[in-house]
Amino acid sequence: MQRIGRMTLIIIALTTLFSQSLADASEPTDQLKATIDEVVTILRDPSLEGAEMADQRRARLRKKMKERFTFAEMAKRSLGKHWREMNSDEREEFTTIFARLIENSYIGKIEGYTDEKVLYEKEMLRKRTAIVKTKIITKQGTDIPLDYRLINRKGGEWMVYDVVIEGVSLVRNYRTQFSKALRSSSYEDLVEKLKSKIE
Amino acid sequence: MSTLTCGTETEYIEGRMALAQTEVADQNEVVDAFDDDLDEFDDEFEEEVRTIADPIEPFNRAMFHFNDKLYFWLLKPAARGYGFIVPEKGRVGVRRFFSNITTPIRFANALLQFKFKYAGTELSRFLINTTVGVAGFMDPARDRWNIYKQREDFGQTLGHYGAGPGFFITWPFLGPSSIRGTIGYVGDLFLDPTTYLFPNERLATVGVEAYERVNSTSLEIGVYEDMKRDAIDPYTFIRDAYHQHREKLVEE
Repeated sequence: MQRIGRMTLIIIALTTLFSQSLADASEPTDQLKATIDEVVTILRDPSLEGAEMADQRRARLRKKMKERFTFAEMAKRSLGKHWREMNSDEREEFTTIFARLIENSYIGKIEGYTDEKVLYEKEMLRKRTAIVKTKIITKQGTDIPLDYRLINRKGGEWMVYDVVIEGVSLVRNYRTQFSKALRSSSYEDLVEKLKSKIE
Repeated sequence: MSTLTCGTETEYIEGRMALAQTEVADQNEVVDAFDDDLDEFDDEFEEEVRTIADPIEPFNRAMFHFNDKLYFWLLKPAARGYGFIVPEKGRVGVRRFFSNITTPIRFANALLQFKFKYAGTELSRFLINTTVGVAGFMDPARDRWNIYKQREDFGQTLGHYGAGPGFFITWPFLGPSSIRGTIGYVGDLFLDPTTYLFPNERLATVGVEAYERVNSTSLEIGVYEDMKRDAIDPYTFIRDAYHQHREKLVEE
């Protein structure tokens, strides 16, 4: 047993040499982390626990998301060239529905996350955009790479415009689906379909 | 286990991606594409480039439908019942055990791509988890020493050397794949110890695979349902997610 212990120590010593140090955090990471920390606090709040508090809990989570996510940017990028053909009323309508869909989906997913650890692995910064790479260490033994793409707003706020789970970009995925839907039927049908998803 | 059924599409969500070797330059290209205003680049073109070919869509959709029914009528009830009997801790342990014994797949494919660091990581994980982790039922390499699984398979090795995905295929039982993914899956079977567990009993081997599937499904109930709820067109969702996910893995 002692031998195994020693061998393990050597292996660990070797592998820690390879392990990556955390990137120095800067603005996008700091701001994102602040939001995620607040979200986790809400999720862990015992006074907001349980099914009877669901509405209140979700309202709080929704508010936090609105502070850090730019749904207009998400909707625009998800529609691609179709966005250009829409008038401002349509854009607003679409953004509202799309925001609701994303919120519901995101909140539904994170509600189960209370003991999970979030690792901030890396940040890539450009003039107006940044990518923050994180990893969710779940209690079920899996690691989920989760990247946030952020865009810089006037006033220095970094806003999330895309979430990339395991390499799958939410915006790109919706864009593929939207463009297919718009090719085979109308914009009105797509809006109807989205509305039925959020009811 | 590189290919997935509809029930465990999210098995790939459970897998992990390599972290260290992503070139910053590669990432910058991605950012660049989004940095430009939408008006400044041709979306249609970009979409064309990044979508996987699907010449046998009617077949794929039929298989998707089959797998969907397989999940709701068979896999999910079985996983539910099983999850009712076996506590979650035990099921996580079983998943870890299967993950540990398939180390040869990840190790060999890391070597084939000359990713010595990842091969080393997999070897360390195997040595630690097989000993300290009691035959792989626990994952102290991850939980105590932050050494994370490297997802490598033969499909990625083929991609690494320039093979494209071919086109999209949905297999019954196995789920979404591609030409490259299918060849990779078969190649990895040779490195999968469960293939050799019962050399003369094919049925037993299938049984082991089925058990593993039920076990992992029991830990993922709800994920497929959520996906179907959020998607405009679940089939297109899966096809695109599969493609994006695989390309990302190859890139790393």
